[in-house]
Amino acid sequence: MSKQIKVSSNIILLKVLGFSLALILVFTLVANMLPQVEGEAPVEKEVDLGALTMDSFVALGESTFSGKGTCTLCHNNMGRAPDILALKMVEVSESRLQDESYQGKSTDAESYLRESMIDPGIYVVRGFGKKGSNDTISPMPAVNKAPIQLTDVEIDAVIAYMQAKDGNEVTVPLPTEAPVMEVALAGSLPAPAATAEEALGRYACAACHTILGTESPVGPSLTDVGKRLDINEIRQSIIDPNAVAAEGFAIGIMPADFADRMMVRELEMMVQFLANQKG
Amino acid sequence: MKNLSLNLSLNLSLGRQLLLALGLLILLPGNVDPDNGFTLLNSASAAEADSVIGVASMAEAELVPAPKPGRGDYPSVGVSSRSVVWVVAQMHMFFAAFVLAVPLFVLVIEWIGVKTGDDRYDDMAHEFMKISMTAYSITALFGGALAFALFLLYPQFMEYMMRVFGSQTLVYAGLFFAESVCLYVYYYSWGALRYGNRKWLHLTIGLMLNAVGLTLLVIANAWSTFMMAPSGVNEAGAVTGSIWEIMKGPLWNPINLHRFLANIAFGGAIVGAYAAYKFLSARTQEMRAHYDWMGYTANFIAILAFLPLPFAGYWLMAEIYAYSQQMGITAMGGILAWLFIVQAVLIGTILLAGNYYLWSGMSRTEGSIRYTWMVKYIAIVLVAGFLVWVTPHTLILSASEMAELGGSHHHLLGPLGIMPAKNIAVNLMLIFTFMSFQIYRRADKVATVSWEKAGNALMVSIYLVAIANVIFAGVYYGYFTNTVYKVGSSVMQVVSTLMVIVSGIVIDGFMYKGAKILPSVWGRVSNRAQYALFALPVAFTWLMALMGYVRSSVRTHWHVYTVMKDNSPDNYIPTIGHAGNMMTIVTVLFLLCVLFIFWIASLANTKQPPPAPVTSKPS
Amino acid sequence: MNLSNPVVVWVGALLLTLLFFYGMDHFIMLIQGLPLNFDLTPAQ
Repeated sequence: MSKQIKVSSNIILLKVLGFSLALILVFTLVANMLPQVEGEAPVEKEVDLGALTMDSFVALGESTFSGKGTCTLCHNNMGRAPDILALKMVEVSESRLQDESYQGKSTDAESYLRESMIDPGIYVVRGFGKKGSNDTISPMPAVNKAPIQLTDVEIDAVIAYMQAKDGNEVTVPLPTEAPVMEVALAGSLPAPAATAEEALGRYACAACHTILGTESPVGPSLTDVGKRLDINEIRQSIIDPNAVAAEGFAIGIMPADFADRMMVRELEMMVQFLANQKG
Repeated sequence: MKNLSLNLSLNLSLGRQLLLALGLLILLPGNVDPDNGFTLLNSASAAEADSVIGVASMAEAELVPAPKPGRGDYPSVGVSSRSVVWVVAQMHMFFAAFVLAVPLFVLVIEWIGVKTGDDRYDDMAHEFMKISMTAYSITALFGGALAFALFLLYPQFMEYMMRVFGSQTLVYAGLFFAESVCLYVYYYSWGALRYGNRKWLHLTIGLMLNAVGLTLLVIANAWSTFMMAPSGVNEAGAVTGSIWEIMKGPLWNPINLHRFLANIAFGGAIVGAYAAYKFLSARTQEMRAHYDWMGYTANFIAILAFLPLPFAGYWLMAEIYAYSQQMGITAMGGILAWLFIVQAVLIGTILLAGNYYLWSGMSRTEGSIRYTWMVKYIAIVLVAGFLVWVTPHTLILSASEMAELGGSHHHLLGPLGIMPAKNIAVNLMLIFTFMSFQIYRRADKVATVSWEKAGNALMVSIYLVAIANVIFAGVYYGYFTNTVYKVGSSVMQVVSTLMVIVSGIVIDGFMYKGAKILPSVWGRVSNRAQYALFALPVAFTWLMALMGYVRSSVRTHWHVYTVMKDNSPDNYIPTIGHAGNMMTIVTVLFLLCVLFIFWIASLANTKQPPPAPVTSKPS
Repeated sequence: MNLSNPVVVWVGALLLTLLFFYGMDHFIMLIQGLPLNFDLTPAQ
């Protein structure tokens, strides 16, 4: 005997929908009540090499360490990798070099730190190797390759930071050269600067000379150099700055190797531009 | 002419490779090994192998790196491109999972129908297939929309992917013809191929349908896993390997297994919701009984497929860590870690709903009173386990909060936040869920074998020792040894849980042969229990969206990890709230689509009665 | 062994299971390259 059961489909549909939406709301609320953090993608920043001081270089290292370098993902107190922030890295580096299992090519703390970053597999600190590899394989990626891809300047900055944070002397020199351009697969040379302003920026003239809106007392102002020097004298000041000193300024301060570093096109653009700077 | 024959043999061996890939799915190790890739090629004819290598090296003569689009190179349609692709891709994947899963368990149910001779199984299998027919075309619609969205909004990325995967994409498209043929023939020939040898033909068609479906799954999986862990390309993204090396990255098989199992669980859950809905709107006791049975079967499928999922997920995570520790830690120890707390909420919901349904279902039979006393304790373990699982480790605190707390972690609850505690909780929850399963299955039976007491003693011992082992491994290796042993001990816990499940199935299988069956009444279950069958697919859907988001965002600012950077305006990781809102949007959309599908399925059965004949009134 | 004595049956089942899980623990840790001592402490 089939009993007829009273039922209303619409009510059921509403109940089912209501229940489902309420449950979905619970999940949505959970997601929205948790701490909301956005993950910024790393942005390519132009490092103003001219304005770099040792302090700002070390600070760059510190921000790279916890930022683009993503070092703190593993180098913390959870035991996955040496806790760099807690260790005195120069002393630790020197003791690692003494380890009989060390097979790398470094001789001092700075080179050891650089080697650890570019070729982490060459020496694995005991207890930190990949599981089951008996400390022969390092789980650390090479930081100058993808996905981290730190530039040489950034790597040097991080090393400087690791030295400076414990009060040790920073042996890494400040970068003065323009960073090496990303070399295309075909192995082509970096393109010359497109404009005089770009060339002035590339060779960090504004670090010492007042020009293009920035001021600096280190060298003579260039805003009126076209009035003071003729075009050949301007060229000579760049190629051979120690030949003639500007009035009130000493020789031996301006870098003397621009002739080796600049391209002819860049030099000529700058010379033309400066010759037109008549204040 | 020579080129033509080369192309033909490329496609042929590719197809053969794909079918071999299907067969060897689980057996091959998940590590990329160029030599192993060529081993498979050599199993085809040498001439074909040579031609494949020949074609490959022709293309490799010119190594073209991955493109490097700048921010301005990305087209914009005025709304966030990521959001568009997110919604369309997730909808496609929901439906694809469903239409792949249903034929899998339909085939099994149909086969059980053949074995038992019980028509109910065959009818239920047929009814399940009817539901998935409409879903199939919606899958294709979203797939087409996804392709358009991707080519429109990420042209450089798609150019690269097309270059990497080459003619395999055409194979993928071609397989849909095979899928459609198999699907339509399988469904529409149900009545015509009903008995005897014809039935075996029908089952074979069903098997072919599943084989094609699985091949489609593993091909599409290769695209996702390539984006996470590229293989067969050099550091700049230029193609250096064969299509097999490109497909068989370190994450391919873990994703294959995980998605295979998850699809079945997901499909079962949705079909269960269908049954629950029909149960609630049933107008006769027969209908109630029919849909109660269907709902139980669907829940059985869903929970059975769900139980091994954490292990497949663990394997996937382990392979991610092995491939790139950085990627692994970003997922579980870095910015994405909170997602796994949300995951805990969802899986807790699933387990509680599944268990509650089983407990409610025990009312169908009188024999259940022997076991109902256990339900209270199972519930306590489940809730406690859920609470432990949901406890976070690192709290993002302000300076004053940190001072109050005395550190960045709570001194009591902090230890509950790390993996050892969570592994204990999860494994115990799975063991006790299986216990619910087992007592439900036993509720309507009385064993008649002579060794019943010994068998029960063994079963109880296995439970006790497994539980003790899970706790011991978690506490000792988790808190008192180093990281490496801690991670290794989780395998110990997982195997203990698997031991309980396997031995439970085996022991009960033998012990209840020829058992006395107590009367049970299908349909005698509360309406309230049906809501558990709605909670299950809702939670599964949201969970799928969550895990899909994890898979996608673990690449951070890369289209293809380490090879092609993402420079689009959306290349940052959004807040978890935004991600949750997107998940809610797709879940609600999917819910509406599923209601549409159910409605279509019942519409097909609706017949309007013809109008009453007009009788002329004598004036 | 008196198999009709429930105590024997239960103790036997428990001991058998303990032995099995003990061996399984050793095996699982060993194949991962993480050997254990007899008291299940790490050997490395």
